Amino acid sequence: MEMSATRPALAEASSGQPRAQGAVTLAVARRGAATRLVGLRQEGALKLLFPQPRPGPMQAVLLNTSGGLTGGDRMRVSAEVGPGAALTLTTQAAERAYRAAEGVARSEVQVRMGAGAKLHWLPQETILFEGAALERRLILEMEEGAEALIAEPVIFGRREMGEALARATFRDAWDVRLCGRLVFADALRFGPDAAATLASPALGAGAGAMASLLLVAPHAEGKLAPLREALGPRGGASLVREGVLFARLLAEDGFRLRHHLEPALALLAGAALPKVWRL
Amino acid sequence: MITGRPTRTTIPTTPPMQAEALLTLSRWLSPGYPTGGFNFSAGLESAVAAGLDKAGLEAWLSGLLCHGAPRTDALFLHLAHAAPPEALPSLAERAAAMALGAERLAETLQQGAAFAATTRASAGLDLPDMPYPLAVGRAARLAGLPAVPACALFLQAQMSNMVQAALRLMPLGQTAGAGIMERLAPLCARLAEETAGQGLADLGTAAFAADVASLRHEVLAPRMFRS
Repeated sequence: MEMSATRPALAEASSGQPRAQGAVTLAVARRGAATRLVGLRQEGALKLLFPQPRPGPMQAVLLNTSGGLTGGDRMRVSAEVGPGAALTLTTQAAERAYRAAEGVARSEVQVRMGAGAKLHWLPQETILFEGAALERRLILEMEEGAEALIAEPVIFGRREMGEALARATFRDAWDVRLCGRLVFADALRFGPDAAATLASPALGAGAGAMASLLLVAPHAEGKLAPLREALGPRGGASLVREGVLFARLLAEDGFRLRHHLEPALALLAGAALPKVWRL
Repeated sequence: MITGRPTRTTIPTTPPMQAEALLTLSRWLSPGYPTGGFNFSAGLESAVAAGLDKAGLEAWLSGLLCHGAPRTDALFLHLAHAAPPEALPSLAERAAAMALGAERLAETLQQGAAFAATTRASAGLDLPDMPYPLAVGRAARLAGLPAVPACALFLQAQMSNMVQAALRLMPLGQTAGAGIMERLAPLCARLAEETAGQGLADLGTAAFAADVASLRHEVLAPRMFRS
């Protein structure tokens, strides 16, 4: 994939007004043995890039041209994966949630999947900077036989830069429905006193990074034992119910998180990670 | 309060229903009520196996209470108490979907089913099986009992169950355990009040390390508890 790394400088937040807005709406469908793009609309700060086609699922890479998220931002991704189609969605770079002078940044991802469709939602890390205020939602509606792999890595401040996270608010809610039935929901919520939460033994336990992983697929159970191996001593996994495999993973920092996350995701995806992950 | 004026001493006259309500709630939420709670440690057993000791226990429990599954349970208890019967199935679906692991799911479904079965049989309430906090909230509603005390007692019972588990898992001692419960009680009361009137949008936890401990319990060997 060719693209320049230029990004507009951060605009000053104007009071009460959304600072940046972006929306991507896409639809993919199965055509013969391949998945084809059948609809795409891009608005504002969100762009979708398509790397050189490779065999296998269609790959699409989200790019936030505003350079990061801050209070008042609104980002929305809506995708439709038709029956039997396969889509991998990732992000061009780690998403930076910057200090929010006022308001919160909101980000919503909604994917509808037809029967037998496959989705890999594998964004790169979200980095919470000091003062960040971010609320995310992920809504996944799956039909019979659809398979989804979802992973959300989050980094609490930039430790390697000597920045500890003192105050930040973060909320992330997932709703996953299979044939109309809610089969899995996760809801994360902390802040504004992030430092206390992240230090507390049952909560952040001093970790600087965390990832949550979900595989909804008929064959999920077979991945449980190797996934536990891949996650290492600070991760845990469970087959919550038939066809629903969940894992949470903590690490000291983003580098150590990737050390376990990359093999875990490659295992669950049954394929190499999107190329942008390794740039 | 000292006002400098002679105060009139009144003996509080507790209405009979209030005492009865208190007795019902404390009976339902006592360790003697057959919900099988003593089988579950909510991940504490694997946390202890991973190094949690007496010195860290209280911080673990208070963090879990205010930011973990007990907070979610408190919210669901209130929602079930306020909900019309037709809204209960979708609440039950969400409460079960929020279990992050198979053992946590079993913990809430089995205790809920046991609580409902016992309460149907003993109190004659029309209480279907549902996840534990919902069953308690719905039972309190059916019996005309207030939600906040029901929630506070429920939370205290959950914490008490974990302290009982800790007594078996580490050299804690009954007195130290009672001291922890003494200090957790105001948190239970505050959380029960805070979560009253909250909605589904307020759900959320930050008990990441407790989640991991709970998930890792499945492969802990040997083990005494079922979660």
